[in-house]
Amino acid sequence: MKAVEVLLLDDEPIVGQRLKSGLVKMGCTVETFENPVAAMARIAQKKFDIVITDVMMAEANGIQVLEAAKKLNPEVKVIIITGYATAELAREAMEKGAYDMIAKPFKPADLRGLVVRAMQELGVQVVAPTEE
Amino acid sequence: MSSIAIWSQYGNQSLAVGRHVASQLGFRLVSMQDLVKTTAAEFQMPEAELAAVFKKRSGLKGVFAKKPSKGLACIEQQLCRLIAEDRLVFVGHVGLTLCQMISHVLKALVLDHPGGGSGPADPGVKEWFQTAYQEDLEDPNLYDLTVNLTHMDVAEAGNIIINTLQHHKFTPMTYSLKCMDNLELSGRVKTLLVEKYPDVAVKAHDGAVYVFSSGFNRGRQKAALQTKQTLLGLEGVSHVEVHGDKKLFDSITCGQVR
Amino acid sequence: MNLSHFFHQPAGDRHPVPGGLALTEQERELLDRPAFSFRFQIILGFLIVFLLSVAIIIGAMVAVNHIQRRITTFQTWQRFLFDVEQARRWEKNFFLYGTNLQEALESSHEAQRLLEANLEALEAISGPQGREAIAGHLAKYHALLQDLYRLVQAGTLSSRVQDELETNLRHYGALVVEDAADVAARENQLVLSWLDLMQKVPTYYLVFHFVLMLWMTRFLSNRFMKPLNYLVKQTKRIATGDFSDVKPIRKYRDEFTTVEVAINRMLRELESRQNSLIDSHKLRAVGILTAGVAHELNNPLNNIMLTAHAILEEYQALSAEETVAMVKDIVAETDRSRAIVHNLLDFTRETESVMGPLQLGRLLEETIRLARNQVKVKRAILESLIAPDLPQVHGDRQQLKQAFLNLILNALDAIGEEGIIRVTAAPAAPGVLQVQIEDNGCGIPADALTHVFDPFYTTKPVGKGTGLGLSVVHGIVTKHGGDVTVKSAPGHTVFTVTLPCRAPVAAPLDPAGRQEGHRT
Ligand SMILES: Nc1ncnc2c1ncn2[C@@H]1O[C@H](COP(=O)(O)OP(=O)(O)OP(=O)(O)O)[C@@H](O)[C@H]1O
Ligand SMILES: [Mg+2]
Repeated sequence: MKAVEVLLLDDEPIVGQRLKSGLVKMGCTVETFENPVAAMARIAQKKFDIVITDVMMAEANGIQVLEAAKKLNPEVKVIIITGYATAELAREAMEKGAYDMIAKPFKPADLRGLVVRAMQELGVQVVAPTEE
Repeated sequence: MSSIAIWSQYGNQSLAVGRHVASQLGFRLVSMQDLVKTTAAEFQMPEAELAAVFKKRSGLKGVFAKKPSKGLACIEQQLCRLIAEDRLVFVGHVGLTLCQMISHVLKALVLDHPGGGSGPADPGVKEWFQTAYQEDLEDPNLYDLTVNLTHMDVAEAGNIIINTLQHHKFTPMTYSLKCMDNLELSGRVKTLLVEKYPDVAVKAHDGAVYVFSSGFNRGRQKAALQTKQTLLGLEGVSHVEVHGDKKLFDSITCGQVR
Repeated sequence: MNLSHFFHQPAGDRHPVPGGLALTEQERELLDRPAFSFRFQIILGFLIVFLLSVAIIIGAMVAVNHIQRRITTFQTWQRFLFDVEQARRWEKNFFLYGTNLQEALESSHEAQRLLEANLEALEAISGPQGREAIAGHLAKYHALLQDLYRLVQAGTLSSRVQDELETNLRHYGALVVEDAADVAARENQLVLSWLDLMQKVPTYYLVFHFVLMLWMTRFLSNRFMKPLNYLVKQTKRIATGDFSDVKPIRKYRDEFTTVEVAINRMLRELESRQNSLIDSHKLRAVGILTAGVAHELNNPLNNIMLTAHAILEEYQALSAEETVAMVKDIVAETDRSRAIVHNLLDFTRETESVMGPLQLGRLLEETIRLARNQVKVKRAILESLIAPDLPQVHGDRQQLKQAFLNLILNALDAIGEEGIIRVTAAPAAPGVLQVQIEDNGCGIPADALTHVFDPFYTTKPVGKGTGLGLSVVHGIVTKHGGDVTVKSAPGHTVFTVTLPCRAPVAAPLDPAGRQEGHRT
């Protein structure tokens, strides 16, 4: 079975470093980015199943990444992770087609739970995620 | 799925709109009366005490009467639970801040002209709303949608609300569900404390509960400690902070307090 | 009249101070100055005029008295002249008809008696020589008459002797008549001149009095107008927001001192109101910023959370080095959290208003850092062009931060999509620094431009704006001796703040400056 392609974008390098291993264990191929422009370029090249993105970043913001990803591939599941969560931002993200939004700080298991749900919706059989 | 809250000072007509929406979507319809009734059952309070929340308190009697803050806290808590149960159409005028904080609740305002089918508006509702939330009930900025029954009939208004609900922005997500959980917990704590500490403010986040009341001022460590113990015994509470300093509390919760 | 009423009054009970509060050092100093009240000044002026009139009237009375005496003296000299002339007439009769010698002697004697009685008056008119001369001539004449009389009585008057006596008598008689006429004329002259004086002096006095009154009117009204004009000027100054004390222009205390003390008291009241306004508006700004900072904190908190969970979940699989690296991450992120909070706390901290030397560039950078989150949330760009090595300004670091923060927050409210805010700081003129905060937002309509600095002027919905932001900015900048202006067109709004600065200092005084500003 084809692995689930995940792009993980956050300008905080630690986020990518810590989340990657857990997602890989679940059977995903994960590419991490810290620069939204580079990430968008990569999204334009390659079709991802799941995009996980931060919102407040210097060069571009997560909503732009969301729009770009959705435009290229309407099927993509975009998960927003943000430290600046508000009801307005949540509505904007959902309106623009985000799959889900989770506020920082979150536990890695929370995010993995979301990814599992997304994978199931994509019709992928999931390796049971590790629970702490 | 989402929920819908309909605000209006025209009881009959807005209830008709709510009924239409609920039957079309298969949602549960809860009116102001229903809410008071279920709250009374849930919290074992006399209905009259809850109804007193919305009574105008005037004259000497009003000045000396006990502030019915417990009643309001319980009613809002009950509303929060109903929203958490999902697929709800609420018609009434409480829980504004609550609904504003949960992004997947569609907030609609129903307007009518005073002589319309709903009969005269109840001015008490608007007044009560102003004192309770310091906002104008009919300020469209507070809502996602305003329908005016002078221009359309009940079914049309209901359909507009149903169509609006199809927008993705009213889809629940992890973040808004978590907000709801936090509100549920803080509401639960508030109903417990509000009788003893009328100025209590509560903020909950992921099982951590922050409580403020001037009753926990310096020198009343015992009360604070006792409260902390009680709260730690509650379901879903992992951490409790009790503050007697409003400024400190505000800076911790940055103003988002229920 | 009790003059001590105007002087040396205990200050406290003569000047009821508005509010009845305790006097401050400076007020006491003002009120303890020697009093010289306007009431006293007016009374003094009129007293002078009154005394002058009294003097003139007394003078006139003395003069009339004097003239009276002069007239008596004049009459005496007339009598004297008459006696002398009478003596001459009798003398002539004797030589012509041999009669009346007896009468001549009597008349001359009478004249001599008169002269004797008025010797002093004579001396006053003719001087000692004149007196000697008249007395001598008269005595000689009288002696000659007596000689003649003795010879006639004895019957031994030869015609030779008679001729000789006659020549002498004529000579001295003429002299005496001449002298007497002279004295009488002089006396007459004197009386006339006194009368003339009596006529002129009141006329002159009237003119003088008129001029004096004119001058007094001018003088007194000047004394009123000068402090009044001064107060008008001062109130204009106060209206611009400069709340420094009104300094009295006079060295002594008068009615205006009370007014000035009252105004100064009002100024201090205004200033404390202004300060509490500034404080309460600052709390508002802090409220806005706190939300941003709380969000910003979420990033390091998330890093800590993820790292801690990573250790929890995988500690068996992790090597020691990996674990240490992760724990170090946690420490670093905690430090970062503290730094985020510190900046806001530093701004929030309640401090007494401390004026000290400040590095404006650093202050602006700190302000921008405070607003950074708001900029992020707005998805805007904030550029800062701060000239290096700006001279120091003298001011209150917290308040200046607050002023610039208000301007930046306003700009953030004004911008829409792709908003750009530019903060520039540069010297504008010698001794003047200029800070500009520009934005490409909606702009301010021309008719609103004059109102934006008014308190409570706002276009923002209730709960979003108080309309006090810019009035606080104006208050703070004016307090620092600077000025704030605005220029606006749709898509370009510039707020320009000018502040006086010290001359560029070569030695780096910066650490001291920081300490000043940070004192709690
Ligand atoms: N940079 C700007 N661009 C456009 N309009 C502005 C700008 N700055 C101020 N204004 C206008 O001036 C008004 C007064 O500003 P002020 O800062 O005094 O009050 P406020 O911003 O409304 O309230 P607060 O500062 O308490 O939030 C604002 O309501 C706004 O209309
Ligand atoms: Mg403002």
